[in-house]
Amino acid sequence: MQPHDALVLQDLYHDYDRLRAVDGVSLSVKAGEVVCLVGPSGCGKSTVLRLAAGLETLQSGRVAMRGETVGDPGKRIAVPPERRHVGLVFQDFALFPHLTVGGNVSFGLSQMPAAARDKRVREVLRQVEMESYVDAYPHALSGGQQQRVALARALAPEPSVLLLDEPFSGLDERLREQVRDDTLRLLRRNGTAALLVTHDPEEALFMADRIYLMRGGRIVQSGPPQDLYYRPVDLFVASFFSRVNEVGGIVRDGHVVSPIGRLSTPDRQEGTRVVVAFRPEAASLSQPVGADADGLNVEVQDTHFLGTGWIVHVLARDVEDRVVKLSVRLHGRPPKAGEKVALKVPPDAILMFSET
Amino acid sequence: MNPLRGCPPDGIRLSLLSQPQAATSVRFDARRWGWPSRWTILACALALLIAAPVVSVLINAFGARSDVWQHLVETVLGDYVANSLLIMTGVTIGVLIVGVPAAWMTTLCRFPGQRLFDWALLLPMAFPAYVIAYAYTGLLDYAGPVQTSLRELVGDPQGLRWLPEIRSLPGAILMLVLVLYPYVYLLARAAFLEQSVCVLEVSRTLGCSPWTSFRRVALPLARPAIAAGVALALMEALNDYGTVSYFGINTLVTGIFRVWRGMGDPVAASQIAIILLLFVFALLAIERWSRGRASYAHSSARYRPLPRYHLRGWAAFGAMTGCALPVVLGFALPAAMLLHWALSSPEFWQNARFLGVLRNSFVLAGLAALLVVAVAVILAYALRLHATPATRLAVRVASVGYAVPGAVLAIGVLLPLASLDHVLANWARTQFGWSIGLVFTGTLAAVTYAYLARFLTISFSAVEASLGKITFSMDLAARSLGRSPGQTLGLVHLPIMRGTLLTAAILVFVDVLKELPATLVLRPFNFDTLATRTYDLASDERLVEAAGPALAIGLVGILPVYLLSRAIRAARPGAGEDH
Repeated sequence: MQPHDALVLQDLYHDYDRLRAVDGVSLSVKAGEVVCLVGPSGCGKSTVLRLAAGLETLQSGRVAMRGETVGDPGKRIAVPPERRHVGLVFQDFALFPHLTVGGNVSFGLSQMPAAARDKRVREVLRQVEMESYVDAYPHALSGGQQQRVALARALAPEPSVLLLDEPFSGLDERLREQVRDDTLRLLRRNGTAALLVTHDPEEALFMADRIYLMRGGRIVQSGPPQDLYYRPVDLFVASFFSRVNEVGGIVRDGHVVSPIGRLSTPDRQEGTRVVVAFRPEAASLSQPVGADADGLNVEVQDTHFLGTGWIVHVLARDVEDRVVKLSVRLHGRPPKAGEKVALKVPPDAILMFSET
Repeated sequence: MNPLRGCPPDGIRLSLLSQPQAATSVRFDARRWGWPSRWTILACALALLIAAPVVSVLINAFGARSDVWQHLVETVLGDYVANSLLIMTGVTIGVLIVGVPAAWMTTLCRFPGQRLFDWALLLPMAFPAYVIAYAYTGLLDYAGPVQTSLRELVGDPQGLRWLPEIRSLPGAILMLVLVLYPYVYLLARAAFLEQSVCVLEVSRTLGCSPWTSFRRVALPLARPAIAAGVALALMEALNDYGTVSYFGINTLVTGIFRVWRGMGDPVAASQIAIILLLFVFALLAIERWSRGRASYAHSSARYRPLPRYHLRGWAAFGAMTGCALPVVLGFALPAAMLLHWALSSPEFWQNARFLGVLRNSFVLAGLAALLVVAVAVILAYALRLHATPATRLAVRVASVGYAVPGAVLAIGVLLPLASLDHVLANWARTQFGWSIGLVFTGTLAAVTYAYLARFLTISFSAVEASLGKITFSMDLAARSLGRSPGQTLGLVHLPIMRGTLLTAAILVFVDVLKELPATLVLRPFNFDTLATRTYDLASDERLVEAAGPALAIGLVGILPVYLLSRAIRAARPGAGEDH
């Protein structure tokens, strides 16, 4: 742990009645870093955010901001949310309906003298390109504009860390991409440390310097987006970010034998079953091959045009000779339904995990 | 630009008509160690204070023996109970007969004047029962306009003995029905509106006529709501003192007054109060239970504009008559009578005494409204901040007051305050040789306290509903921007809720103006309000003079009717135009 991390969470545990929502979570957000906490709904990620903000009373563990402990039940430290200096952005934006845009943004600046406050409000609103709306009321704004005001309001007091709880889920899809991009640029420009909670894997990949993936109250894997995508620690992580095809494998003579090839595997016992999988875009289809050559002979079931390419569903046999349906993503013209083709996956794109 | 557009102050639903909500809270900062939050402590303290009158009645009733009690049991108690039961039975039948068809016709039929009746059917709520009782007595007695003109018509001064006497048990029931049916009308109306059209349409495709579909589908679905409406009406009927005492009918409430004030036996009076409370709690249980069931009656989350049956000819005429009759009898006729009297004594309007009474009433009602709304906000906000079991219990305890009759609250407030005064006076005399007299009893504080206990629920459910509409993210946003819970309340919640707060205050204001039994007992000496002045004058058979204050009560009483009618117009899925 570094002393000047914007946010450090250490060994957080949290129970709701008898249900364990957070089960030993540790994470850190460095200064200027955008970190995404991602996971399926109900995995406890929002609770972690609320614990960080002090909105939920910490039951066990430690929360520190800029090196200062703000929550530690062991030492009876529980700094209330209003003194933690965090910024919060919500899915529903939570703009105060009775205040103007300017009133909303200046809400957290009560300590400042009036002139400086006005200047700061203008400055932040300029950053989100909402300067001309300073006297408008929230209900007159579109969803995207409301989101920008919410962001400005959270950023105005220059928080140590910005906490965002599904901040883009309230927007429609076309808008979302644009707003994400704008938000990210703003965070980068201000050097704001941010912890973003989302259930959307694509959003996490897009936004994050580092990702923490949660499941059942625990962090399953963390690291840069490419690590989680290309080197997932298990099938859950792999299939969280995109669909994966599972074919299975078994250890024979120090190698994993699987329908898509022989893979070297150190330290696995003979006869052990393993999970062998690959992503749809990793595979390619070609002319059928002979029994000894690399590649798996499959039959094309159907094809679907997606605009940016094709999804081809093929029927194959897994390691136990059961028929499985695999999907392959192609850019060029796909084979026709009913055709027999060979499916190949480059060795470095094959994912292999122990069976759990 | 109005920043509150889109946040309708729908606490206006007459508080009592709203569902007791499941308690949810922000769940932050609920300290796991150390002291409970200041808000929790405050809420619990307030709840204790509000529950104190009922507790003191219980203590009085069970704490001491009374010789009067045995005597009561042997003589009049049976009458009290029987009359109260008869009134309840009569009111139940009456409000059902008037309220349910009116609700059905205005929601599902289309006939001339239907839009007018939508809200006009609420008008009788403006008058308390005792006021229309005075009006009808004047209207129907020997010298009144009805008998006079009938006599002229028949030409025989003795020939009208067969006319039923209005000052009788059936007369009292009629008066109560005329002002209380709107409870059933409102709740039944809401229930009909919430019913999915699909369910009704399915029943039609399965071979029901409009009438059968009403009887077999709509009515059963609305039954819990209707039961809740009847329970509310009956609570009001049990609370009534003005009508029954004027008509000379002995009920449990008049019994309390007679035993306490007449025989000077507070213990026996408390024991009668216990019987009354048993009735009330039974009604409360029915109401809660029905409301619980009412939520299951939601047949669909999807609403479409209701189709309406176009009534023509005799059917339309029948519907118009059915809707007009309660409005005329419950509002127009008594109002006209009172207006006639008031105008025929013009000197009364310049009377300084009347203005003094008006000022007294407004000051008292304004004070009570402020206090009640403030306490409601504290309780609702404490619940929002920390929904601890203690806070929840406190809120539950504090919110049964609306069911407790004013007469019971009056004893419950007066007895402990009187003994407190006694102790204080003794102490001051022995310690300092001072004679301080009565500190609490007979002050505005005592009577306001009773109002707080009785009318808290009205504003609490309005405030709670309105708070529930404010997303918790608002609290979190304000807290993360550096504001404490108290500041958040002042800067965020109160401004957002101001419409509701005003509405809640108006509802309390009007109810205080109409309240009779507790005011009668607890008001300071020589302090007259509109209600007590009306009652005193009418008791002296000075009905013409009573018309002024009575009319004033009715005029102010129209305010909540207006608010309610606006709210039910705004906040309703499926209340479409005719199709």
